[in-house]
Amino acid sequence: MATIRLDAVRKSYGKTQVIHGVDLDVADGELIVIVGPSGCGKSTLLRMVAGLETVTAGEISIGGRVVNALEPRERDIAMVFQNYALYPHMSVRKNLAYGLKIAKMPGDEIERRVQKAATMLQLGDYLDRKPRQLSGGQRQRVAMGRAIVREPAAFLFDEPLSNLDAKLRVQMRMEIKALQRELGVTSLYVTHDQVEAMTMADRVVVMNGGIAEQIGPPLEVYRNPASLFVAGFIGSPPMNFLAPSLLPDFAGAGATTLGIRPEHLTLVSAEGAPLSGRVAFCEALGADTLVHVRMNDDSILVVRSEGDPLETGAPVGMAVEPGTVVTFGADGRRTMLA
Amino acid sequence: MVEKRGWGMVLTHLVLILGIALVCFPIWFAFVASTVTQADIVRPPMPLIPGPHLVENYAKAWNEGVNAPVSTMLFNSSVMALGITFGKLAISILSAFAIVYFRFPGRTLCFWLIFLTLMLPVEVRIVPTYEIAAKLNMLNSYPGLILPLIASATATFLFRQLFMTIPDEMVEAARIDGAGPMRFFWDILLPMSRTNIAALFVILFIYSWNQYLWPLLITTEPKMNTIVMGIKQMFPSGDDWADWPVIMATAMLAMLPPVAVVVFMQRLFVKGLIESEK
Repeated sequence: MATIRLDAVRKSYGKTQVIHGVDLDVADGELIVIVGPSGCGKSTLLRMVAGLETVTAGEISIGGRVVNALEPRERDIAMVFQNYALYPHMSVRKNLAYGLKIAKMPGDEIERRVQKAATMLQLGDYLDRKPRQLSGGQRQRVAMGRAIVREPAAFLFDEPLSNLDAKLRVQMRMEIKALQRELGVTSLYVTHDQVEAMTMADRVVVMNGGIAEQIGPPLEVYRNPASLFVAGFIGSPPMNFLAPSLLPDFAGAGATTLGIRPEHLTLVSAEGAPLSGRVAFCEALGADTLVHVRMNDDSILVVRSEGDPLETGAPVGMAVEPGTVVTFGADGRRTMLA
Repeated sequence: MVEKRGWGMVLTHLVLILGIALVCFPIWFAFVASTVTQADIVRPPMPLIPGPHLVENYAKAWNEGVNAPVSTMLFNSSVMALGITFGKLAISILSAFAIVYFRFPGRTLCFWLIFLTLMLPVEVRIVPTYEIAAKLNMLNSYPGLILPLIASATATFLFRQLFMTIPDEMVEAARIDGAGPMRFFWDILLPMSRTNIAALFVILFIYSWNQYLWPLLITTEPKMNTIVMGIKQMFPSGDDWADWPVIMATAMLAMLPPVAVVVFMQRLFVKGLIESEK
């Protein structure tokens, strides 16, 4: 069990800087999800913590020990890879035991740990199979198991669920979360899927272009995005952005963009409504319907409505739930709380 | 696979049988020649049914031969072929390992230099190679037979291609598990390459077994002859008469080891084809 601390961590490849100084404090037992679009540097950051990439500048410490110059095996971490990286010629048992064997752990202790991890992950019946004889979900579990048996100070997950189908992904993310709770191991989890970030994280780090745009609990990030990027990235569908001229009542000084979540807009009759436009199209999701409304300035607003789909082209009005509008300045940062 | 019916099936089999007959007939001919007497061979027409002298001819070839007994030549060939094959495998897998997994100055240059040697087979460099072998006192010796043929650009290149298909995550997982470079090589890379090693073993063994020019040049004493060149040495020069039954028996014996290697390694060959997952 340990804390992880990143202090002004930078990474350059030649002259190209890809991480522009990230600070992060991870508390003991916390699950931090690093989320961002591809190419934002989130995987690079994780690999620096793992020791698979060198740190150009700044300091990384795990459990109070600076690990910049340490080999991965000396950092007391375990990593779960996107494609699992199981050794194809070894049985599940040997895959789990390999790291312990190298560490010259006594055989009965290895066996005890393997059995414990296998029970925890319901892999008991598969210990003598080869990875290719397992399904995607089972391989994922073996990859988890390989991390668990090491009993490390920290788990590092690099998009571990990307190769699974949608249903399994939902199931596995709950299992990983539960497992992490149970073991209480400090974890860094990298994903591009904002739903995983929202559902699993104790705190979310939203990264963009090598910068941590915002760090905070998922709901805080959702409700109070620090920048236009965060507002647009977190939430599905993303936050609506509109020109202040459309809603002058809400625009504070210096605001160049207003943001409203789709669930904070309600459809009303077009007459006398603060916002109005025509229905562009509707997406019926069953429980609710996403109504895309084309405004007079040709921008599109998405409204989450509980009703049935509306006819395309029908005029609609929208009311704004008070206190839910956020404002952004010309630099894309928040100006003030509306 | 396309399933043929009726006449298509018959035609397919006809072509296959014809092909097999075409390949097998000379071998059958040689086998027949090795079971009759010299007199039977020189009196036309040559028989097509095996004669009664099989044991006699083979025993003579095995124990006496013409210049050197076949047993000696088979032993020499085996030492040379196995030496070259294992040497080539060991050297090429290690150099491919170095080229793919280590960043060192001149890495690309090294790769291209190795690749360049593809253009320099024994036939091209035979005079300087012979001179070096002679100066190192390697004439008429096993090292002399083996060492000049031991490097293989082809095998290095094949292993390089194989290693490049192994995902980087595998290396990283091993690093996190605490495996150093050689540990990774022994525990992970080598087992993952075993089907390729088996396939290359077959190819390289046959290549080495069939070496003709180099052994011919570097061995002058009959006791160092290898079997493939030895067969040619059995041919008479001038007006001597050739002991064809013994020569044919030698040829049949010379074929056995490569055939055995192919037959026994076939299983691994096929396994290599089926096992697609890395």
